[in-house]
Amino acid sequence: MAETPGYILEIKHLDYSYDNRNNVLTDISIGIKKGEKIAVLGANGAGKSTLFLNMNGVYNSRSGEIFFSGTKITKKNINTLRKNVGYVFQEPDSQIVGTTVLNEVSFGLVNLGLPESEIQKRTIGILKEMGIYNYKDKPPHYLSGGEKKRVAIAGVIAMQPEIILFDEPMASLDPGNSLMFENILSKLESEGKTIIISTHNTDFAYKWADRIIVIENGSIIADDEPVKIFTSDEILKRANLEKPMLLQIYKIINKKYGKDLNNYDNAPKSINEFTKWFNHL
Amino acid sequence: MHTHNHFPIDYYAYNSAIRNWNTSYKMLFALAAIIIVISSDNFFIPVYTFLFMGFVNTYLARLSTRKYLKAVKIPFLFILLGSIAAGAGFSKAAIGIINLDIGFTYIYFTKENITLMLNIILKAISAASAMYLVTLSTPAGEIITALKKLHLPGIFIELMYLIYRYIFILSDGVHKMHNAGVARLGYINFRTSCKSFSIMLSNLLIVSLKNSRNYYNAMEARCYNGSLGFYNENKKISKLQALLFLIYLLFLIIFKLAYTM
Repeated sequence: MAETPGYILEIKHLDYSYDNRNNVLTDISIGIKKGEKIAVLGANGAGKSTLFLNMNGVYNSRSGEIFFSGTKITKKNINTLRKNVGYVFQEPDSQIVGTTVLNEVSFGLVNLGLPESEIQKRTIGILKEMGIYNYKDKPPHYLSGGEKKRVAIAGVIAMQPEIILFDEPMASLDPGNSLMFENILSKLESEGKTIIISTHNTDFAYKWADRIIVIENGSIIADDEPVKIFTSDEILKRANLEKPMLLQIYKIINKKYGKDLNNYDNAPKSINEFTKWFNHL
Repeated sequence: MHTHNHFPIDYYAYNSAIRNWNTSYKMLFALAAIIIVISSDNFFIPVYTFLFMGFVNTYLARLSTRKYLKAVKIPFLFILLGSIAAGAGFSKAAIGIINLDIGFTYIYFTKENITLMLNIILKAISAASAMYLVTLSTPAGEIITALKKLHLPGIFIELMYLIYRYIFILSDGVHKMHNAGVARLGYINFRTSCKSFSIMLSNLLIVSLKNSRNYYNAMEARCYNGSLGFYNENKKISKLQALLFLIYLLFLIIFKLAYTM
């Protein structure tokens, strides 16, 4: 099979199992375009993290193909995938290997075999950009949870990947750190990075994503724009997802004012959009 | 900052005022001092070195004397017991200047033996204080990096890095599991304590095995290819630091000359 032009990352008919018997992922096919903002939703154990590990090349599936920028990924060029698809793990502690923040952020760059001057330039640059330059000599075990998260993200961004995968990035962040994370996201978006986030937070997915992939039992059951996903009660029920608060309110208000209940053309995505829409009602 | 599970020496090292000194310089300084102390033939050199290192480790490193002496106390206890074992003799007759009658035999110390013991104690404690120049001011990661420059085999270097990194995660895990046990009355008496402790240990093993897979995945995700490496900033040796070593040697020579004359 050949790749489809226009996709930066394409997965075709990928199966994955840990024990060669029970598939964790079954017949996964996804085409991802540069600059897309994708949220991956699904219950615990649905296979989101396993999918990410396949996308990033840590796991190699026996069946199915992965193309990056038109090149088929094999065992030989697996590092192309690992370099270009960055993976920010859910738990910073399972990702951080360095004994200081500076060490940690440089880890991937050293693995890429870059010259020392380049490593220094990029590491210091990213530390300043992420606002963690002052911690550069601190060991990870003396950092707070939010600081660790920033260090983990910096270690991935330093490698300048085209695509960045975030595994439940806001699961253990307080509101302040969540805001910090959203700022990092918008910065990455402005740089044209492709971002894929796995999350349980449908409010966030609805607001942020321009495409949503729903996984259930290792298979993709839906892959569409947010409004279509979140207005399908069948999909929401199958994947154990909650309808975004704003959509629920939108529906209640429309009902009260006797409007067309199936028209979601100008459904508000954020609280600002909602205010605007409500005031014009 | 997590304060419940840090190890004091690690904590002192990260907060030391002389942390930014070149690691190799500190290690060479300590090594030179240790060799000088061990090869010395009088009481003066160990005492001088101990005081000099005490000055560097407390005043220059901004570590309180109380904390420093507490750190010195740890090897001191071992040294004391070891030197007693080296100096004591057993005899049916009271032939030493100190004799302890323990019934069937005497434990005795002769004058020579006591001199020997004092010598051992002074040399050992002085060498330990020189070692503290490195360990109380240099985080383990930096010591490992310096050892790497000395071309220690890669496998040791990587093991040291990983053990150092994960020892904190492990101790954090133990702390949480212990709390979870206490919260459910797992440690109310000796019997439950033994049981809870053994459950915690086996749980720790299982969790560690599971996590080791995650850690390995995370390393591979960032192109780990079998050799662990990090970038470290070079620390230059300032003139003042170099001067310190010269001062140490200078006084040593002056006193040595005064002693022999």
